[in-house]
Amino acid sequence: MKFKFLYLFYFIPIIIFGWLCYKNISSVLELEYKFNKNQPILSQLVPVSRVSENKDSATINSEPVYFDIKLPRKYDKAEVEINYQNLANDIFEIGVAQDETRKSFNFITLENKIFDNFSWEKIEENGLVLYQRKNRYKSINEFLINPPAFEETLAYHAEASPIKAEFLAKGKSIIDFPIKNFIKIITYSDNPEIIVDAVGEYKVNKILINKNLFKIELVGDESTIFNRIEINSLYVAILDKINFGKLQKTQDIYLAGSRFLTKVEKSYGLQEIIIKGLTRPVKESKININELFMPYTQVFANRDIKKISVSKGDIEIEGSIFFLNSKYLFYPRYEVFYGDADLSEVNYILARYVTPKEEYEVKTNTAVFDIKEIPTPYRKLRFLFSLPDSTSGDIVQINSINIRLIGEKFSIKKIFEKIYYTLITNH
Amino acid sequence: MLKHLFYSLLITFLLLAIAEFIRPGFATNFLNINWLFLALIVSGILALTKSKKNNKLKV
Repeated sequence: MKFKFLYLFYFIPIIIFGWLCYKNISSVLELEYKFNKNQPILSQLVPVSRVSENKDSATINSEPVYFDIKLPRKYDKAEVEINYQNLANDIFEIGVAQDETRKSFNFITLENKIFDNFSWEKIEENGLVLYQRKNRYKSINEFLINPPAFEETLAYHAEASPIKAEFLAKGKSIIDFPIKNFIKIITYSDNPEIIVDAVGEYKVNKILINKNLFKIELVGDESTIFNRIEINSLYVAILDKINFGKLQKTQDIYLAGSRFLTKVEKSYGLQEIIIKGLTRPVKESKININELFMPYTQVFANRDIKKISVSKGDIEIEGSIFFLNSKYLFYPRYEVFYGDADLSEVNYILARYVTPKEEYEVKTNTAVFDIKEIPTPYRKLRFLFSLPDSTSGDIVQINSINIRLIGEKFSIKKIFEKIYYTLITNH
Repeated sequence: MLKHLFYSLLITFLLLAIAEFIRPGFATNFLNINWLFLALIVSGILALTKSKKNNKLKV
């Protein structure tokens, strides 16, 4: 029988389909961003008005700029290597979207010129860097065991929880004013218990951060109002944001940190906020909120405790840490370092930062993200370039973006296990 | 020969279309289907014209 070479054509579908199967299930996917070209798996750098691309590079004129990757499968880790030059800004960061709405990002710094120009003592351990004005600590572990005061320390993409034994004193804290949508509480307790009186649906996430340090998130929807929250600990702090409901009487809350931001979305919430320092000489300031949706920001010269008086509610306030009273203060974390932070009273900065490699004024740095638990709507993973406090103009020229996605190895056994567990949980 | 090429490309196209329908992005993430479709059309037209020519010669 004579073999017909024409039948070799029928290997085309087998080869193409096999190659696509391999690409889709392979545990490692390597991608390279091609400038000025449409790639099906990688989106362009957008918004296009903020980027000018030629065939070799892209220049960012205004921040933020982002791009998406269409994920063929689930991956655990993303390594993004950026090669760039002519950075006109102090800070250059890349972030990966952390939630379905893609409003929250986990950032890794590619370059921080402020840190690079420091003449402070520097200790580097496992990607963490401790900058100290005076040489007090010999290691980062020593710093974590015996942490300095909140006022003189900043953190930058690094978590550190200063903890002291007296925080375990028995008692309870009550939040008896209405809070809308969600609240992030941090408490120091050996067994935290929470009693919630709320209108609408919500869920409770309790996360152990450190020994006896718990983060409790009450996550509701747009209509949820938490009227009363009781926690079995004296040491309770509210993190990041409080979205007040309508108040019956003026509510005082205490802020630790140098930044305060407030915003009103309904006309009832237009009011005057009074901010009073607790240390002498007592300083008082007022924010008159008379415009809707307008963010009002106040930056303070120090990080001392301040009393914030909210008279009517229906207002959103943002800051590093809020306390219910000024008696039981504890600092579950340090304030975040910003590019424009006043460092005159700061003696320590704990940062997660690796200096970029430099060759002939071209710099390269790699950001490694854990993407295992990140939700990816429409199977898209979003990365964002951030250049905080930059002015418009050519801010940075990106010469290459190489992405390496790493996931679990494909195994038929795991697929069967998945099917088996899906069937069991469905029945 | 063109006929076999056309058939093989048609099978590839249908296979990828089904895979793409079941799992969006399966093929389009890595391959520009438009080029495959163009090759399919060109090979189809060429196969058709050649077979017409052959039929005329036979008559």
